[in-house]
Amino acid sequence: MIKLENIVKIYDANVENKRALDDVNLTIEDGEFVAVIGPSGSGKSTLLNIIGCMDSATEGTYELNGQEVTKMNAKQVQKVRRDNIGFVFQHFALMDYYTAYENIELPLLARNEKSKNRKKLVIKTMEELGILAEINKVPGKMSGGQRQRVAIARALVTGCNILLADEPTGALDQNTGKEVLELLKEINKKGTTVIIVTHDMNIAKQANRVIEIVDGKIV
Amino acid sequence: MLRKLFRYKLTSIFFVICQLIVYFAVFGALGIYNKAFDKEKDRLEAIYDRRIEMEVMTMVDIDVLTYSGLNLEAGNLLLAGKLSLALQEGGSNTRSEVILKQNEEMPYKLLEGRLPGSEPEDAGKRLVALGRDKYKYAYEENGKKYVTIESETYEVVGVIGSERSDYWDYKVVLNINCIGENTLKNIVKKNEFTIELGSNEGDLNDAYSRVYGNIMSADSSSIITAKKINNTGESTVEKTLGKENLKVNIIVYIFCLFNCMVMSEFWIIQRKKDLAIKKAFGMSDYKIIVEIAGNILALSLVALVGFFVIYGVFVILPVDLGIKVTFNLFTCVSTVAAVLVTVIITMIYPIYKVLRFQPVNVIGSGE
Repeated sequence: MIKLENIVKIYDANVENKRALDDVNLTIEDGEFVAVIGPSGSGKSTLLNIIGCMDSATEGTYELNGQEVTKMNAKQVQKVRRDNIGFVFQHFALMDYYTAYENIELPLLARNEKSKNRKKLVIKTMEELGILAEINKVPGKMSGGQRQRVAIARALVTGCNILLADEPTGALDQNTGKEVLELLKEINKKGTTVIIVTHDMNIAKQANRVIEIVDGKIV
Repeated sequence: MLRKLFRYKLTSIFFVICQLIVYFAVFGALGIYNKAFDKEKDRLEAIYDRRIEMEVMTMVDIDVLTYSGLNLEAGNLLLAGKLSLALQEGGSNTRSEVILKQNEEMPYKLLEGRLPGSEPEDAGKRLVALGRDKYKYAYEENGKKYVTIESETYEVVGVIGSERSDYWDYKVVLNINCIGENTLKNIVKKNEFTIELGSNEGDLNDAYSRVYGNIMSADSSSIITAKKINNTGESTVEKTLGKENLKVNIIVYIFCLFNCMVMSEFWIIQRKKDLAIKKAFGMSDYKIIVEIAGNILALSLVALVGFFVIYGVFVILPVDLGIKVTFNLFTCVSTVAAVLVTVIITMIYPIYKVLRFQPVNVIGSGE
């Protein structure tokens, strides 16, 4: 379970309207499919980064599965992120000089998984997402949809229980976007909590719950 | 393996080229050092265990030299010091040595032939042994080599030189029993000589008394100042290093180090996004730094292999690169040190950046 209480995020104290997140309170139960919507600059990606332990809150408390993340040191936060959270970044964020296999293998390397086990898990995930044919391709040689599937595979390969996706269809055409969304729904059906950030209401409607954020506040 | 190593082609190839230049500079410098130390080794090997140096001054033009080694049965007697003779083909005066009496093996290293006076039939002939460098001035006639010393023609019977240094390359060695009249006359009229008595086999006190007596018999007005020499003399290492272009190698090496530092900036630019992704997916700073170090080290080793391949090709051709690689402890330690220094210098900036940046800022959230 994800529980945010009175979360405030300030990037630069000297900037006017300095609060990227302003007193955000939010609870997301295990297995939910949540869409966070809002206009550009509203703070939705900041919220996702805090939930994903990629960024820290300036004020407030954040609890993940009963553990208070806001009280942890950097190393502990890194471990929590590694063990619980899968992240799908906007524009895929794949390593351009690495093959699909190497990109997906990355989180397992970080967890010091043995080579044999890594291979087994990567191939299993690629099979599930239908991208095994792209195993030795670098991102530049793949289509947008394939790249996004590789990015999702990388997020899922560790068996994480929370999948965060920042504008997962933003860089895709409509049909490919739909396919990716269906894929995320399937992942959610298997029990993974999925939180997506989007500014497209049609995509947000596919989620079980929609959270709208404006000027850093949940409305 | 190579694909992974050269994943980031531009910076990897640039780094390997930079490292290649580093190796040329390092091995060039090591070659100069080894040359200096080899020369010093040859010099030390040429020194007798026991030595007596005599400064002889005669008042009249009497040939004390021919008699100095008479009935001498221990040690070798040599006229050396500042003796300089005109080598016509070389176009200049040349430091020369004259063997006055040989009782034991001489320290000269011969590349071919023999020393003058080493055969009984040599007596009365004009014979000389030349250092490798001086030998190039010799001209050929009837299948034999000759040079002109003090306007007299000498047959070259031996070439002196060492495989490892040029210590012997400039020597001109004569023997008092096979020396030309004019040459001897020109030596004798100098009135001042340095005579060295040396032995690796036994005590020289009796031998010295014999030489002293011989000289005094020939010219009772001679003044002889003798001293036993127990040290090995002044080292030639610094002198040799001073003559070589060691500074150029050091400047090239330092320039390459700066280049590596500049390159590390581009290194980070090319890898920044990937490093941020690795961090975002839980790879620890330590693991990323180890990976960077491994990559730089592996590229350094590729450059080292590349250096030896190029060096090997030039040796086989053969083309003089001006570098001589000698495998010894000093070379190995210096090479490892050069590699480590470059790796560390190249890593400073990437490590600083890895420790500093937040992955989310680099990857970008799209907002």
